[in-house]
Amino acid sequence: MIELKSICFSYKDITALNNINLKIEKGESVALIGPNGCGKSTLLKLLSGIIFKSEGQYLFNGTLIDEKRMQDNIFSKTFHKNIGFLFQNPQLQLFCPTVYDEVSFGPYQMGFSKDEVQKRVFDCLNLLGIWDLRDRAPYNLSGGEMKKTALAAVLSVNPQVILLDEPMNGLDPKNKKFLRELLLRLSESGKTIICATHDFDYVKGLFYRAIVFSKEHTIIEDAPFESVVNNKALLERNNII
Amino acid sequence: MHIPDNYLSPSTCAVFGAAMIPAWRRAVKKIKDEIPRKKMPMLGIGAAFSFLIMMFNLPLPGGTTGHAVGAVLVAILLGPYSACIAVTAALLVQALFFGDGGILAFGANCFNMAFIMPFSGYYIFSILKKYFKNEKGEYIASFIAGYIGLNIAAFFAAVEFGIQPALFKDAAGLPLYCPYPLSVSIPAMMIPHLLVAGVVEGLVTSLVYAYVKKVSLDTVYEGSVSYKPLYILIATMVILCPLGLLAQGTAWGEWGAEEVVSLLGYVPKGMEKGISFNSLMPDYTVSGLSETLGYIISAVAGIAIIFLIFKLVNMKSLKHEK
Amino acid sequence: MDWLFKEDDFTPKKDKDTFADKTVKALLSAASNIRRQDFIEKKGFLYSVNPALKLLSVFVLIFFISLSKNIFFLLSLDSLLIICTLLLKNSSGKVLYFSFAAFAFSLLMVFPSVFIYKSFSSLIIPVKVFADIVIVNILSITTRWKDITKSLKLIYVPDIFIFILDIAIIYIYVLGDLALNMIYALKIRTIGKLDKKYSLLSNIIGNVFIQSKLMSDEMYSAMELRGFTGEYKREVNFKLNIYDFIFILVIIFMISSYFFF
Ligand SMILES: Nc1ncnc2c1ncn2[C@@H]1O[C@H](COP(=O)(O)OP(=O)(O)O)[C@@H](O)[C@H]1O
Ligand SMILES: [Mg+2]
Repeated sequence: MIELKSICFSYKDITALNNINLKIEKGESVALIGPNGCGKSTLLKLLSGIIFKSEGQYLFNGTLIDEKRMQDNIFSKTFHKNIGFLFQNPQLQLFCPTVYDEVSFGPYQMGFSKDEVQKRVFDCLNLLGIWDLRDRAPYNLSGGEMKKTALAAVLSVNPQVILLDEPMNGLDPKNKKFLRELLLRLSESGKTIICATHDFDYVKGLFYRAIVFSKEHTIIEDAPFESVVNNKALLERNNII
Repeated sequence: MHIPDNYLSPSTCAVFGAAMIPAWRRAVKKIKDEIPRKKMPMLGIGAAFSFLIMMFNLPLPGGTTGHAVGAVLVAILLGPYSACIAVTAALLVQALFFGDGGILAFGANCFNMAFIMPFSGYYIFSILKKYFKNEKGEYIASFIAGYIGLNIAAFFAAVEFGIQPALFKDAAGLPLYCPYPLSVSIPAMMIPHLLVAGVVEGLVTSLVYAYVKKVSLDTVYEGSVSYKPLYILIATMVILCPLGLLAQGTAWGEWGAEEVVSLLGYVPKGMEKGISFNSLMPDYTVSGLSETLGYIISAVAGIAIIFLIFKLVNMKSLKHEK
Repeated sequence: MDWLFKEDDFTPKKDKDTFADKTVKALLSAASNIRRQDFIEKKGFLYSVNPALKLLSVFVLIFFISLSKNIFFLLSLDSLLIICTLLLKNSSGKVLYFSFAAFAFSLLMVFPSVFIYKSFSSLIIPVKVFADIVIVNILSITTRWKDITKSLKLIYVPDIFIFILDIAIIYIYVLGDLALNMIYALKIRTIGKLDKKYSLLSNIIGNVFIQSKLMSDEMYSAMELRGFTGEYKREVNFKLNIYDFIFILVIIFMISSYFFF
């Protein structure tokens, strides 16, 4: 489903991704692990089509994704519909006056009737337990509430691939547990989940594959999640724990 | 709207720069009285905000895009005095670091976008607000304020461009700076602003205002504004167009070069001592001013009258409130 | 709730949304211009000249360019400036690109006047505009901006305004990043036809404003905690070294050629 071939990316002079080769199949759930600044967020931005590679190839369902391809209006919209992305800082993701508007933003564009839209929004807000916040302005919610709002907005368009950038950050333990359950259910229903994370304890049993980045911005390990988490030497060597 | 260098004569630039000094002075004094020192960072951040508004491309019919200037919006959100300083800082950053807008023309650009636009827009907004009592009316008022504020600023820019060929010609009668007379510059500037840019400005002003008010009411400026700047505005307009005063005494088209150079040659005069004036400006001559002059006078008078009407209407409505 | 665990059958509608890409471009380019200064090394002639001296020279040159009516003077100046640009360590391509774009735009603007006056005299304006844009760009590329704002003291710009400028530059970067991310979010969440583009963009502008308000309050508290009392004094350094004297000679040469031509 997702295939990266020798991907490099740099912000002007600063390298953020260096020769990344990666293949992710439909339905997989993958954890991205690595020290701060190793390029996890950059990789997720690249996968979601926000930024484009400096070198290499990114194939999504066999189609080459680059700036030119994304000029095709219908193609880029279908692509964005299929890939949902929860930002590391959800505050940057919310631009509507209320939580309700935020979550209904996607479904409205999908041409649903008013009732269908309402149903989707109701489902999403309830699922995340933030129905009571529906009339609040997103900008003055707490960090965790913002994160849930952003996640509800992502889920409301029902993407096939869900990218999450450190989703556990800023959540209390109960919400972390809840998020784990939710992701597990989504994964079981066939969605592809790619998640940058440091919280090894809270994500147990959720991922079956882990990709480890070094601070040189390359992949140094791609192995089953359990074996990576238990490989203390590897993690310590790479300043992850 | 950003006037680049070399379209206005250095003396015109100097006149506008000089006109801005009292405006800046007064703004700084007002801000000092009005907001505690601890709010000073807001002016810098407000400047960054003004700068960024101009980066937002908005879709226009036909698939192209345009952007708003935002000075009226900043005036409504932060108050006109703060807007004056914030927009000035934004324009300086643009001129000095991004090459957007001239360095000599900085005074003229500030006059149009950091003074005329926020103040006229703010007055219009605060006056209309009294008539439209409900919320929707306020949004309409902010739309009109943005629309008119931008158009007044564009009109000033058009006049600044348009007086150049009449005032600054070489020996052969060819223009030294902007070559288009008022009869060209005014329609060229005003038609797109009246039809398109003004609408964009109005929409952005009212939609952003509505949004900010809806989600965070307490951040909107609540001060009152005295009408002194209005007099300054009118006074500067009269000073800037001394042509209007002179024309009554002199016959059309009979202007001596000295008359105009002495009126508008602020900079060269100051330099006379150091560098020989003649070698600097060998053939600044001014010949016939033709009907363009009539155009300026009526335009300026027209604006002055509009402002006076606003002022009168406002006084009346104030009395009503008391 | 079962919809979430099934796949949607959805084909988007076509829409015009180049505005988002253009905004992204504008924001990125402003941010990269600001970031660029972090990498200015004090190596190379123009990089080593005293910033205050550079700023004053920029004013003087632009003034004389504006006065000049001699196309030969201006063309030689343009050529000299192109050479200077090519000698820059970075971004010379970008500077030339922008300057030629400004030239072309200005040419387009004044060209019709040829028919009014039956003379090409106004075409001197684009030649001047080109020189000005190159000069401003060279200044902005070879100098740290905080050294330029500091030098404004020499022309009696008050300290408090310099303080405002310095904060403005930092926050153009910070708030620009915020705006950029919001536009990105808007872009990737645009999966159909957007009905209210103006409202959405205005919401983002409004969010930037609200954030800027919050930031300014926090910023003052932080400054106070670190001992800020409301005074902001920046000193201009006007000690000149050998580069500066060479630079002065070059500028004097340029200006005297104005009188010579
Ligand atoms: N907008 C940006 N401009 C320049 N450099 C950036 C930007 N964003 C990230 N970087 C740099 O790219 C590298 C990777 O960053 P990121 O992907 O955010 O890392 P992670 O999410 O793994 O902590 C870091 O060195 C960071 O400094
Ligand atoms: Mg990250």
